[in-house]
Amino acid sequence: MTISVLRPKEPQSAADSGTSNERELRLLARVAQQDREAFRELYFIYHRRLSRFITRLTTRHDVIEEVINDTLWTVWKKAGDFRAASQVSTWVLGIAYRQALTSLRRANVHVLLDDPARDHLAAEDVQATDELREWLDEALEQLPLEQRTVIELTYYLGHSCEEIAAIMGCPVNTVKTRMFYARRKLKATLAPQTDRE
Amino acid sequence: MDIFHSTRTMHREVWDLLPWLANGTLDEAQVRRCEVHMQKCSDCAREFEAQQALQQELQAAPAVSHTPHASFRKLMAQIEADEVPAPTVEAIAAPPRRVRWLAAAVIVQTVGLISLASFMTWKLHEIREQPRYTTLSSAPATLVRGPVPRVVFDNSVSVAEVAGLLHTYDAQIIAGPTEAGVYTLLFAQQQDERSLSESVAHMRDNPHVRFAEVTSVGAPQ
Repeated sequence: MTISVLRPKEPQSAADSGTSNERELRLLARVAQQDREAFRELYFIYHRRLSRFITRLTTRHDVIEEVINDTLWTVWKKAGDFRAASQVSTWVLGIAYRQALTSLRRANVHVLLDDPARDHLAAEDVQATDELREWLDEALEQLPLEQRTVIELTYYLGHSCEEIAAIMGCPVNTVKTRMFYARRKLKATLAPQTDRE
Repeated sequence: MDIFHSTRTMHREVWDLLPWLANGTLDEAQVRRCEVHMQKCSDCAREFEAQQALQQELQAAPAVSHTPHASFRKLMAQIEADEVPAPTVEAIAAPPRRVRWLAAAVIVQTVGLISLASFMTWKLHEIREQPRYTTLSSAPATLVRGPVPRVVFDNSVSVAEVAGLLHTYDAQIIAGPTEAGVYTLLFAQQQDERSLSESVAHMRDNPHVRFAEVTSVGAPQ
């Protein structure tokens, strides 16, 4: 059996030359000097990423917008405190994750069900009636928030296990355990769908 | 036995790493270990293919359509409002410098006293609200039937670490410790025997756990 494996990106330090992290570091340095143009650029880079990430945690538009803006407001205030011990994205996503938890608690959001916004998104996205995509979205929605977060940070945002531990403020083993249970639940939920194929 | 244990441990380690092998974030040594193992383990090789498919599916999911421009304008308005200095009332005449210093000192002291009083009131309330201790094994006594997990924690582990570990696995202590330091656990989610064995095997790899197994006899309380 031939197995194709992605090799690790080189070099793997936080200040990779020529990578998006390098660009974000430069922007952040300017933001620390209250450069509004640099902040605007950083905002638009992260708005898309954070929209996708936070939509996995809730589909309430008001909460999503609040979390994005609270996160980037913190970035504006604390840009000068960033010491590049991690990637910029790890730092920003860590802020976003904590803001999301706070906002969700405040909004008393427990379950992602019967949300008209979700139905609207589903109608927009599933034009080709991709059944597997629907099953996958529904399966993900059934996961506890922490497991969903690990899934999103791994597969969509492409973070390493150690980065996810930093973002979520937990040990690496906890990230692996959450992923272990998430994979098992997804398998159980998606089994009827894959059996049909 | 050692070889078997080593192979089983390697299998579990690689199995856990497969999502990050699929997204390309493992280091070179981890990638090599996974590749070598997958040459011999068809389960892991198949699971890796599934992980790659899942990764592709999630990457391909359409982006959520939110408009950033309006949100950005709203945030900038907040930033601008936050940075505008508070309007000052025109003074008739500025008091002498010495009086201004004295006034400032009085204000600082007053703020300090109020803060200290508030902090002490809050702290007293917090102490009254919090129990002096919490127990990890707070489940009511029940008769547990069927296989149950039994664990021995490492000597150096703290109560907080045990609590964290139990929270991670969604489990609670229902009996123990015995003289040998064995605890009986109960998972919040009911699991079949295979899933239970997998969960316990995973727990066994945790550095805080010295020993973990599933026993076939129920633990009457």
